[in-house]
Parts: sequence; C-alpha cells; structure tokens
Amino acid sequence: MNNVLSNSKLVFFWLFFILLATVALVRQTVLQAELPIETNILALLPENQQDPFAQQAFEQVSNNVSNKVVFLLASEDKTQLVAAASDFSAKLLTTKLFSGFSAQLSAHEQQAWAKLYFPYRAQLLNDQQKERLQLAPEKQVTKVLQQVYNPFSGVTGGELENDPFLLFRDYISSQSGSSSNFSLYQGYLTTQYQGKHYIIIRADLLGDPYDTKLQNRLSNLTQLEDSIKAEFHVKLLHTGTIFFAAYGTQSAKSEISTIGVGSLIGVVILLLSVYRSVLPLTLALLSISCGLLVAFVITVAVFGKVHLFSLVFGASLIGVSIDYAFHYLTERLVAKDRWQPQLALKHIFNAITLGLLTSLIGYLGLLIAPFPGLQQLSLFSVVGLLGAYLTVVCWYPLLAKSASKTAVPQLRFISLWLKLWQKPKLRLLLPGLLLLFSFVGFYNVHFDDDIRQLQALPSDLKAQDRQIKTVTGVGQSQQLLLVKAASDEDLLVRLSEVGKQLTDWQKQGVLLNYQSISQYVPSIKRQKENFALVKTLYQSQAEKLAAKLNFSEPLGFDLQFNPLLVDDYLASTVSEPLGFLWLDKINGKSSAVILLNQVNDSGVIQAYISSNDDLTYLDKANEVSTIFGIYRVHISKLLISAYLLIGLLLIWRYGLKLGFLVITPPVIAACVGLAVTSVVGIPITIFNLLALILILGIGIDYTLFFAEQKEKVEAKNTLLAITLSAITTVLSFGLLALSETQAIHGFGITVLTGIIVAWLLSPLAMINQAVKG
Amino acid sequence: MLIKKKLVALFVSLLFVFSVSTQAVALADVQQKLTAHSLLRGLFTQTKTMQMFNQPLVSHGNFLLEQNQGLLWQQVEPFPVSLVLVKEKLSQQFGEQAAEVIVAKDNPMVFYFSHLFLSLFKGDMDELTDQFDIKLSEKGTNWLLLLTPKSAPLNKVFANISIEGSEFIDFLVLTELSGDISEIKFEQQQTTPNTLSEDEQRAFQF
Repeated sequence: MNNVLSNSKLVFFWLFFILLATVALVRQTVLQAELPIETNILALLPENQQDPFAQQAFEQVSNNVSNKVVFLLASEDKTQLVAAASDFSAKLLTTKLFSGFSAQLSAHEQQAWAKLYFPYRAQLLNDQQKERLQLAPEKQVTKVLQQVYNPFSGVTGGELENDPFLLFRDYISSQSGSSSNFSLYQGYLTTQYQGKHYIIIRADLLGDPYDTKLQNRLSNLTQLEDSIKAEFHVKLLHTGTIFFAAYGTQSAKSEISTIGVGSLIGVVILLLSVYRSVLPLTLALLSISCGLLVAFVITVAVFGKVHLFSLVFGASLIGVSIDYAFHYLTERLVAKDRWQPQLALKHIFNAITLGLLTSLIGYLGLLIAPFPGLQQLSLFSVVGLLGAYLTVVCWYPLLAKSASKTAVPQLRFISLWLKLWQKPKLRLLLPGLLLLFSFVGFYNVHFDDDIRQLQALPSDLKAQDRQIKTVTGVGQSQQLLLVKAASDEDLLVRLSEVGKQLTDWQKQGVLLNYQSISQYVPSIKRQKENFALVKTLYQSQAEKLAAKLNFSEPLGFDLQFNPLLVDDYLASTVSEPLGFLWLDKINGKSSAVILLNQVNDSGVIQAYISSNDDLTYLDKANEVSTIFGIYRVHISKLLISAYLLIGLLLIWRYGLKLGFLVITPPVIAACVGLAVTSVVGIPITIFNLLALILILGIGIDYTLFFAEQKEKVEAKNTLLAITLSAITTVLSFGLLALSETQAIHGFGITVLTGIIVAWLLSPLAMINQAVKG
Repeated sequence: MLIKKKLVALFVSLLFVFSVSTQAVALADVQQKLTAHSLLRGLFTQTKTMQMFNQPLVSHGNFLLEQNQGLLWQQVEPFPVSLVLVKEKLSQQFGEQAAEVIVAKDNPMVFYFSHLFLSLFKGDMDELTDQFDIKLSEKGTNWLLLLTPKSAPLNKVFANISIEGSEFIDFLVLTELSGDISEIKFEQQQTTPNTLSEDEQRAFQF
C-alpha cells in the first residue's frame, strides 16, 4: 500500500487530470456564449414518456403556454385605461423581450372569425339552432321577424341579404361567447369586474422563458410598467412562465452563493482558528476546489448542462469533501515534531477510504433512478468526493512535508464529552432516548410527493396570476386531456362527443369550462347534417318569410356544400390562441388536446378517462409526482439495502459487536433527522430520503474513525477532526435549510439534525476505550 | 402693423375659443335636456326602408325610458313584442310566450349594439364621443346631432346616425353605408307620472 501511495506516477497523473479538467472548464464556460447551466425545472424530470402522442402534446402545449405573457391593466377610469394600454403597447417591444403582442385588434382581426366562417354559413349551426331547425323550423321565421323589427338588434340590409334567416349572427356570437367574457372597446379586449375596467394585452416572448439572457431583460419591462403605472394611475398585472422562471433562477443563484460562500467562510474561519496556519487552509481549499472542479466538468461533459438544482446541492458538498482533509490535517497538528507525511496518510488511509466507499454506495444508488436531476446530483457528488479524496491521497503528503508548529487546541468539551461516554448509563440512555423520540416522530410522518415543492413560487406573482385568472375567467388551474383517433374526421367526431359530456359536467360544476378544437370546427358529418337542415329550412320557410317581410325578390338557396376543414381554421389568424391544441399526426393517427379549466371534481373525469381507451390525462406535474412517490418507495428500499450492505461490510471487518456499534449511530441519526423534519411539520419527500443517504455517508465516517483508532490518545484527535467536519457540514446544510424552495428547505433540516445526532453518538464506536477505561 | 397683427391673432383665437365654447355649452345643453327627466314615456313609429323590401317595414308601439333602470320597448303593431333593456341584460317577450333573456356576458356582440342604442336614446355623450365624431347644428327650432362613426365595426356599417329633438328626442335616424335607413319617430312624450307603476317595475325585474 505504501508503494502505491508514494508512487509519484499517481501524483503526476492526478496533476495532469486536474490540468485537463481546468482546460475543460475554460472551454465549457469562458469560451461558450452561454454558461452550461440549466434552470428549467422540467429538465429535472424524466423524459421517457411511453406515449409519443403524450410527449408531443405536452411539448406543444407547454411551448405555447410558456412563451406567452399576459398583462392586465385595470382602472376605474376607462379613458385613462385606454390611454395607458395604448402607451404601454406602443413601448412594449422596446423592452427587447417580445417578438410580438396583441393589444388592439385591427378591423381585419375583428372580422377574422366572420371571414373564416362566412363562406360555410349554411354548414354551421349551434346546438340550439340545430334543434330548432329539426323540430320547429317555422320558429326561425318568427325569430327573424322579431329581430328585424327590434331596434336594438342591429340587423342591417346587407346582413339580411346574405343571410335572410339570420342564422350566422347567432352562430358567431355563440362561438365568441363560449370562450371569453371580453368585449371590444376601441379595439381593446376589455371586461368589467367588481366595478373596475380591465384591458388584456398578450405578448409572445422572443425566446425561451428559461433563457437567462432574456430573463435579464425583465428589468426593462419593470421600468416600463412602473412608468405606465405612475403616469396613468392604473394597476398593471402580469403573469407568464418567464416571471416564475426568472424568480427561480434568481433565488437559486442567491442560494448557491449564500450556501457556497457561507460554508466556505465557515471553513476558513474554522481552519484558521484551529490550525492557526496558512498551509492547512491552502490544502483544504485545494481539495475542495479540485473536487468541485472535476465534479462540474464531468457533469457538464456527461449531461451537457448542469442544473441549478444540482449546483445548490453540490455547493453543500464542500462540507463533506473537507472531511478527508480534516483527518489528515489533525494528524499533522497532533504529531508536531514526530510528523511523517507518508505515515500519517497510511494511518488514516483505511478510515477515509472506507468512508469514501460508504458514501459512494449511497450516491451510486441514486444513479439508478431515471430522473436526470437525481442522476446529475449523484454524479456531481460522486465525482466531487472522489476528486477531494484523490487530492488528499495524492498530493497532501507531498505538500505537507513540514511539521505543524501550532499547539493542539485544548477543547475542554471534547474531553468532557468523551469522558461522559465512558459511563455505561449514557451509552445506553442517549441512543435509547433518541430512538424513542424518532418513533414518536415517525408517528407524525406525512408524505407528499408533489413536484411543485421543487419550485419557489413567490406569493406576489402567485397573487397576480390568480387575479388575472379570476378576471379573465380562465380558472385557477388548467389540465390537459389528450384525445386520439384514426383520422382528422374521426377525431373531430370524438372531440365533439367528449365535448358534449364536458358541457354537461360544466353545467353541474364539475369543471369551470373547457376549450377544444371541436368548438371551432365541426366534423364534416355534422356540417353535412347542418347543410341539409338549412336547405330544408329554405325550401319550407322561404316563401313565408318573403311574404312577411315583403321581399322584393324571392328567396333562393344557392350555396354549395364545401367542408370547413381544420386546416382552414389553422390557416386563419383566429387559430392563434388555441390552434396549438391540434397536434401533428403521428404514424397517420390524429390527436388533439382539450384544455380543461379548473376541474373541481377530478374523480368524475378520471373515471371517464379510464373507461375510454382513446383518452389520456396529461398532467405532467401529477405524473411526475406519482413517479416521485414510486421512487420514494424504491429509494427507501435502496436505502435499507445500502444500510444492510454497509452493516455487513462493517461486521465482516470489525466483528459483530463493533460492527453493530459503528452502524448504529448513523441509523439513529437518520431516524432522528426524519423524525425532526416531520415533527416540524414538513412533509417527507424523496429529497429527505436523499438526505438519509448523506447522513449515512457522513455519519459512518465519524464512527469509522473511532473504530479505526488504535490508541486511547487518538480519541481526542478523532473527535476533534469529527467535530470540525460536523461543524462544516452543519454550516453548509444549515444554510440549505434557509432555502425558499420547500424541498431543499426540508432536505437541509433533515441533514442538519441527522449530522448533529451522528456527531453526538459517534463515540459509541470507541469500544477499545470503554474496555480499557 | 405689429399691433394689427396681434389684434388679428387675438381675434382669431377669441373666435376659436368662442366657437368651441358655444358648441361645448350646446352639447352639454342637449345632454342636460335628454337627462333632465328621470322618466319618459311616449309613442314610437319605426320605419325601416331597405332595398330588399318592396315597402318599408313600419311598426308602432310605446316606450318608457327610466334613466337608471333602462328602456321598456313595447311594440304593438304589426305584432306584439315586449323588449326590456337594462344595463347587462335584454329580455324579449313575443306575444304571450315565455320571455327570452340574453345576458351581456354571454353575448357581447348583441350587447354592443344594444348599448349603443341606449346611449343614443339617453344622450350619453361620454359614451358617444368615444365612438363618433359629433356635429351639432340647428334645424328650425330643433337641435340636430350628426354622429359619424370613427372606428370599426361601426364605420363598416353606418354612414351616420342622427338624433333630432327639442325638449325631448324626436327622431333617431340610422343611415347605413348601403343607403338603407332606419328611422324612429317619437311622439307624445310625457314626463308624468314620474314614478313607475307596479307593472312597469315588475317589467324591469328579470
């Protein structure tokens, strides 16, 4: 072993590797236009959708929705409101955020619906009209008379000439009325809500909402909004993925720097106050940075990008990777004149290698999970730890040739704590009590696999989003229903069948409303039925109508059937808001999405979907939450097997009694960590289980060093090194507990309490002393 | 010379101010007249002259305008229809059949025109100036408002709309771009009794 360690080849190999990694880092960051950092939360999620239709639907819908920004201007004064909207929209493009926007509808756009439908007017009837024409066509004549005489109806000569039965106006208004409660005022889409007037303005982003460059330009928008608010005294609300994404980026960035800088400062202060010399500080920083360097470079090389989330966790790696350095440096501190760099390494080699192995077992388990996020996290940690370990093993003996001249700090509480552990009562009582407490905590455990816990959602943005949805009548939440069929026509027929069911449920309050392409394009079958009805109407009622209104010429029916196709709809500007619901064909099969607004009773809809093969619920968040739940169970099993495996390894090395004593503290620590988290009221997620892996990895390091020590004097040194490492770990993870993202916050708390308990109980493994003492 | 120039300038600006203020006063005057009475009852005759028809369509009936509640429009000839227009709702009752109610929220397009009609009838200048260029002139002892639509969709349909009256509104004429004309003549306007009868009150409650 000595030969391997002193081999200078290894030293140079590691040096070469680090240099290579540095070059790679420069290539990945400085020489790239963009930093290889991913901020989209969806990138953390598994992509391997079984269903290509579902995958396409999800992508198309999320692209369409996420690239939109909605503004809502509000005022009691309509004139001010219009002035504000006009000024705001005129300056909107100067923010360099948007590719286009729709504020004021031009005359052309206002007529787009009528233009699309007008040539097909004899084929278009709403349900009410269809029923009337089937059962009592004469009533349509009465209806026409009534409207022609009615001064409020606005029937003009031109309209009557083109559509003497006035069918088209009702069809068109039932179309526009079904989807919005907005009306036009000077070309603006306006609505009234609780005494205030509102104007809606929609804009399309210039690019991806997760693009940090685009996010940086949001300050331009804030400036513009502020000036509009100040000048016109209007309220201005906005919502859109980019605002949430930008907030996420911002908070993750600040968390990385708080945690990273915080734990680094902690480490530096600790090193300086204990070792009181520059060399240990330099060495420790060296192993930390080598670890982070290779971790970053290799993760980017494998995944293309590093997710911010991995970096947040990764920053806390500082606290773990420093352990190896602490043990070596403490050896040096204590040895003083008897210092032999190689011997010291040999001394701690077994302990730190075993420590590394146990940590790697834990982390490698995560690689199995099909979550890119977890895989990244695991790779980042594994490589980072290996890097720090190799730096200690390869370089420390060479770099720390000189002996330490600093006195060993006399930490009285350490001796006191060790003395306490000599008492058999404490050895039983403390672990027993902690175990008891964790059982109480388990009683309160509450699991929650909701993916949304991963997102930090600021209440201000959420409130704006809620208000916009309330005013516009969109509903608080949207869900997607995927419908598949063999052809476009089959799909339209199916969509309208499903739509019929949904309309019934809408009346019962199961959901607020829905949007589907079938509301805008009837199936050809339906169009043919309508056409026949309209033709019959002319044949049976035209004479009667002409007589009542004294038409100068007899009414004839000269329209030909010519189907209105989905493609006609998609080609028109009217399809801009909802055209994305229609999906491209896959293997000749057609599919489309129905947008469900605010489902109040999902059970009813769930049951309907599961009894129809061609319907699928597309709920990425729920789907992922389900997967999270499944993996929470998987990881629990994995965790138990990891603990068992490590336990066996320890029993094989130390025998039954010591092996048991070495594994017990981390196990109790894990239980307490989990218990405290749930007692505090935080639901347990997959991430708290990840925390248990860390507790196992780090906690076992602590006990291993006690088990590996040969002499009684070493106990104090060991506890000193462990104390230092525990303080840094607590420092870094304690800072994680400050995170605004609930999942990270919970993770931090679990690790924090677990590590403290692991540190408290670690002397349990100093069996030699107990026998001697 | 300089003084003369200044005088001319002063005169021109005075003229300008004067003409603006007379019109402003008169418009306000018209509005004041139209809104002076909280309750107005009367008879109407509507004549629709369209190229499609051999003869104009003529209808008669009576109306009631209550400034806060809305408009009650009861056609008697050629068939009985009762229309009630309030702020966000329109009820139509044909003969003895059950009334049909249209809510603005469900049918913004229909209401767009209904609202406009109500504004014309009530002389709601704030609403009208947004959508029309308004010219005020005199026609004998009557005043005449000529409204030309400024923007779509109105300017695609109407050439102009005129309102004529003295103390009350007497004529409302809508001229379409196609030349078709709808004229409503109001007669026997009365401001008393100035409270709603029970039946009338009930008519506004739907």
